[in-house]
Amino acid sequence: MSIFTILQAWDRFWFSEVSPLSVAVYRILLGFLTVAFVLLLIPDLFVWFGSQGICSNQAVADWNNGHAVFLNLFSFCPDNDQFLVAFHFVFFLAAVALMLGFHARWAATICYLCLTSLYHRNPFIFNAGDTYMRVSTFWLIFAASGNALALTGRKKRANPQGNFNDYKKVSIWPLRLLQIQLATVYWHTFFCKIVGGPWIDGTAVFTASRIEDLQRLPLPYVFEHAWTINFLTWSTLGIEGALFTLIWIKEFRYWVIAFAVIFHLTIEYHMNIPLFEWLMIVSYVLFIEPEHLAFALTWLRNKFTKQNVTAL
Amino acid sequence: MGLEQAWNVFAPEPRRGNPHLTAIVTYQDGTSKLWTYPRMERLDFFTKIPKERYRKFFDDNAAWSFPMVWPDIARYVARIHYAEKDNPPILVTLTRFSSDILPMEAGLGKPNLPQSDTKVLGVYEITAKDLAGVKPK
Repeated sequence: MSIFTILQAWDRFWFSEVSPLSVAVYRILLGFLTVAFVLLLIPDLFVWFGSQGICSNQAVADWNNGHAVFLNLFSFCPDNDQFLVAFHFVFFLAAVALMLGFHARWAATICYLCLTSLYHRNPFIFNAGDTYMRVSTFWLIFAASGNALALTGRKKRANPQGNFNDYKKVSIWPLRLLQIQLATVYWHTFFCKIVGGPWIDGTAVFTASRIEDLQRLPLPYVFEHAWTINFLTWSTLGIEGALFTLIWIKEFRYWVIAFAVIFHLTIEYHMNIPLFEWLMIVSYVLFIEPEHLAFALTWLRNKFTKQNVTAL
Repeated sequence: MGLEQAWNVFAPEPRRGNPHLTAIVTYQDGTSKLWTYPRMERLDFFTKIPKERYRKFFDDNAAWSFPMVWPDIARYVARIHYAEKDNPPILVTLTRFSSDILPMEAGLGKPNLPQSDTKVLGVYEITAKDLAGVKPK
């Protein structure tokens, strides 16, 4: 292999062009989950972020060791409940706009600003899934996710063939950033786990299954036998390892995704961590070939609208 | 920027304890009330979903660390228990109850231990300033 070949591969990886379909489908799914995120916060909005709530600005400043936080829209109107309501309403509209593809870049920007502001106002209630949502909306700002399946520019894009293969190609690098972000999640969690202890000796899943506040539905047999617990613990490492390595290889990709979906659905069944598993599952769409997505979307449209358009 | 990230989910090991917090609110006349937040293990399938933030805030974070939020929790609990103008809350005591999760060799096939380890996290005096702007319910 020559240096020239490596440079060519690098160039192809970052600077070729691709259909916007993958990022568009991801935008829709992420937008849907962001809408759910906004709605789920409403019942206790004032408890977590209100002027008379459970966490003061001072406590957060102390947590940050007094360092100023750069991005927090609540800094403009601290402890103002009217502002909080208006903020949340705008966030809701932006999440809906993101889902529908109405000025998608602006919608992603507003969603990112809102998610970051909420995080900086009360970081103690957010989990890794919320972090993933926040950084994903940031990368979506750079993606041409509004160039397909979007309200804005719909008429301009209309094509007589009526399939999903004809979108004008766009730069691939924002998609690469989103893919690398997903791989980074699994890379980091994998290396945090293999340092030793219960993930290596095969007992970590036992401990996780005994955290009472996380339990949702019981999984009979599985958590009562050492061999199933060992199997699940080491399978977790295997799947997480594959999700930043084998997922890049075409021949393995869909197998890795299939196992990862089963893995996350199992956690979703047993553990109550709303949205987290779904956020990871919908991200796999970023690794699906656009022509396969086009095929699936055409098939779905034919099925639900009784049209008969050739998928590929 | 909000882009800092760490993905040490259940790593290097899952949490090894089951906690819950309670608050005892003491009123001016010497009476008291016990408060706890919506605890996941007591909620039904659907209620758990929007209330999961309580789990994150209390069970993952405030119960073990982040003492900077304990006075805020005390003030919040006092405010939601402020029922009579002439009998305001004057003290809030935060207590953590917890139990260790047994290692697999010892715990397989057995129920979790009861959450009976007790630690008082703090006793907080409630002042008129803490209750300012709150209407007695």
